[in-house]
Amino acid sequence: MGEGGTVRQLIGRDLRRHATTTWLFALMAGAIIAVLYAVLAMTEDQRLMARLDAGALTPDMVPAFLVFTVVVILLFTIVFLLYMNAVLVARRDREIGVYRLLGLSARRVGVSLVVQALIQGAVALGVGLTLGVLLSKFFVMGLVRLMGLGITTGLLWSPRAALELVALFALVYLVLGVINALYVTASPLKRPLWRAGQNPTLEPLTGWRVVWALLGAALLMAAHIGAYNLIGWTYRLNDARSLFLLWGGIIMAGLAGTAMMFRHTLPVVVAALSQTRLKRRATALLALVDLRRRLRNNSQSLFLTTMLATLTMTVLGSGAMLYQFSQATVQQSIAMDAVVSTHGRTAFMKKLQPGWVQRHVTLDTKLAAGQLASAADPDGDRTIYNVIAQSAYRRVQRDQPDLPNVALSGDQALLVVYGRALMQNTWLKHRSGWRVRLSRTNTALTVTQFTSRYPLGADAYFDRALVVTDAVYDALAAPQDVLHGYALRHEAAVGHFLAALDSADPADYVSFDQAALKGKKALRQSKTAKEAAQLSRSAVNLRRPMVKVMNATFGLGLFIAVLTGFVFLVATASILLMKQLLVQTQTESASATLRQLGMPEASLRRVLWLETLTVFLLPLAFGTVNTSLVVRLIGIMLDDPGVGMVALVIAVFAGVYLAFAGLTVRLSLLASDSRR
Amino acid sequence: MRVVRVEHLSKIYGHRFNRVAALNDLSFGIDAGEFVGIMGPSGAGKSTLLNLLATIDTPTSGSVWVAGAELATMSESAMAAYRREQLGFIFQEFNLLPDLTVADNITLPQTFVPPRPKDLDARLAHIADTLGLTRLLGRYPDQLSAGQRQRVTAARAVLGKPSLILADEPTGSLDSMAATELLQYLTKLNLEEDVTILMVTHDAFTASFCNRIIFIRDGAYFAEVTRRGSRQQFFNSIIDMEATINGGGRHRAAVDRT
Repeated sequence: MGEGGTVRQLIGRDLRRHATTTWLFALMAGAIIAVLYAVLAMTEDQRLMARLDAGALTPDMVPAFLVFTVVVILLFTIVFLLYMNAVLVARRDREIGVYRLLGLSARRVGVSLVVQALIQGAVALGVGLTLGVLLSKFFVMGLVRLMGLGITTGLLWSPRAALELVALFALVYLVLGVINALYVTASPLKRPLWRAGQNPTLEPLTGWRVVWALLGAALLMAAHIGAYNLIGWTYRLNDARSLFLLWGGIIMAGLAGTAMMFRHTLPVVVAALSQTRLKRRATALLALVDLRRRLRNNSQSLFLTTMLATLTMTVLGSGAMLYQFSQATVQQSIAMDAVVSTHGRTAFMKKLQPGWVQRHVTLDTKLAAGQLASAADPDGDRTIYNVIAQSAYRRVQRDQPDLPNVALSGDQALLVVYGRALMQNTWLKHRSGWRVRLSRTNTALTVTQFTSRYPLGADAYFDRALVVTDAVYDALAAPQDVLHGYALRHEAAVGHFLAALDSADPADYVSFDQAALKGKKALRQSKTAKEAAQLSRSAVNLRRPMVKVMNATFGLGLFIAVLTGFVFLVATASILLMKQLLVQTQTESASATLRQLGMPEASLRRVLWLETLTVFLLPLAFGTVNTSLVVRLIGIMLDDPGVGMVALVIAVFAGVYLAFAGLTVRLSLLASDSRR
Repeated sequence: MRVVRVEHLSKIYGHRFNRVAALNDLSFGIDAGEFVGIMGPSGAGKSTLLNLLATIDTPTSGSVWVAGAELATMSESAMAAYRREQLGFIFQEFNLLPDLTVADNITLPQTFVPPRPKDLDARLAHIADTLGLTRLLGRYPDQLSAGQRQRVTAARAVLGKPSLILADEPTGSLDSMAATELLQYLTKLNLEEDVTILMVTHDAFTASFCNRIIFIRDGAYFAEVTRRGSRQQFFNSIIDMEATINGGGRHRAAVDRT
């Protein structure tokens, strides 16, 4: 038989022998290639991009972000393929060692490995491109929906995107094959033959290991406590070096703690557990012992998957949170279709048809400089307040039910401040007895309530607002600042009117220098920037254009988060799946013994389920804790937009992830049945 | 009392034009408390017989009765229960689980299905004492010598008080010292614990520790030798029978006379 024949036989036999893992590896890569193709094909579709861009904040934002996503996913995919490939080839050490011992030349083994890699790449590309074309329509649908646009499209076929991916992945798989060939042929024959199959006994539980275990747990706990209090502690430190130490320290402690958790803490816990009453049940004992071996052999892959799960859930969670934030922000920033100041109203009324207006709300306020102080901090800070009477506030509340109820008397006041949640978690939390003194009139007020909800929306204000009793308001001598809110009809003409108005952006200014803040001179409002120190706000605030921009931006963000999340999820799950299948082949002889000793099939299966679920749940559990800490931080910074959508996204992630655990068990059972 | 009854047992591998009869109308019986050896040349069907007794394989025809139950009528789970409760195994390759301590390895089969026997710890202590394993209970299999490991296997096999212990070349991986020691322990179990043992071996020395040897050839019953007198005499008659089975006619006549 010719040389080509033997190599062909060898390739065929190898592919058949490792059929399950080969197919899985190709399918996983195919899934990622499908995502890449669908996104690339979207960016190649000029017409679609132009229409998506219509709603975006800046021109070319959509294609730019999508291409950036493709690059990130590509880089990640290449690293993932390299890692998976190394895992898969290492377990073939022994069989390749036997081939070479029996006289197969290293060159032929090398050639066969390169060809096998290319075959795998071809399968992955075939699966990926087919799936990608089918997915493309759904991707566009999802993106359009999230961006709040009304575009439809069919399947996207882009020869250029397909060719780019074929060329790139052909190269990647060629490199993988060459790496495998070099790895195998360069290693001395002795090593693969003697190393495999040895399964040293688990280390006994010694004092030092307990010390390491406790250290790991302490580090991780410290990192978690640090992350929980991060914002409060950050505000207390003021120099860059200690800030760097705090943030760096928390991240390092978290990484080291997680690594040690898998390397030392969990093995010790499991070892201790297997000394308890649990050892009296064979199922529990065997699952614990298997878990101990898994932790010893695969602690780094568990660490890696924990980090990946954290990353995935954080990306998904923060994407969802930002999207939710964008929805809440619009409501908080501009509470009606249009909110204008007296100055802005002239421009607004110029082309407005009276028939378009459904409702008009007027809010009288007075502008005053004030000093916020407490017993602990008598100096406090000085800024400009829009002072509102309680009765006027209640009138607006009828149209804006999310405003909190007030019942003020005497010198009591409600302080409206942006980023309340941030402040409550930082310096504001630790102080009580806040007072505001309006400098020019020397009006002293006691703050009894806080909120971040401004009547008519935060964008219409210079800075903070104060709600006071009608008596205090009437007595206050200060310049008037009237705000108007409009609810408008949903008509095309109104849309054009608003779009035209949005391009002109009139602003209001108010003095912000020390004399004005200390009440030594009257506040002066103007239509242009005249003084050196001034606060400004937009004089015309339109809700619909803002909704459009928000949807376009954060919808795109969420779309990208879901895409990258999907890719990370595939990677995480496939690392765990492959590792589990490899472990399964190694422990096959043990299960054969157990079966012969009369262990019921159902119990053997229960051990497999227990062990697989635990291995999948560990990264998920640690990942969820990490993610909730990160998402909590983001939530505080974004003024608590709520976690409903975040919880939903993470629940979907966990569901898909656990489905992979089920798939792993099924594949393990299939593999062990076929070997019997 | 008959513990094992094998009746007209046949096992045929392959199909149609390419058939190999591993067992061919084999019949024999074993009484409670016996220590029986199965001998025969390579390919005689020893392993097939053991697999059929262990319900790892099913016969083509004929039947096997162990402790009053016919194996062919059992369901999958009944077979597992049978292996768990009626059988004890001693393998040539030990088949101990490397990650369990000696004590856990010995008690493992008894904890497969709850409830865990109440006297398990006492039984473990007793059997460990009998087999000289008391000081090794906390160790792992990798820390033991081959002979010690085989004693652990023996302890695991005996602990469940099975009706029958199947030993497949138990001395195959041991040196002669360890083998002798193990066989003395097995004899001790047979006498003191009243365990019935069926041992497959091809080694005459190993076989000489039995009470009775059944020789099979080409899947069929060939002859049997029962121990009378000293072990040396028994050993000699086994050697003679082995020579006969391999074609030495002179010795065959000699044995037939006794």
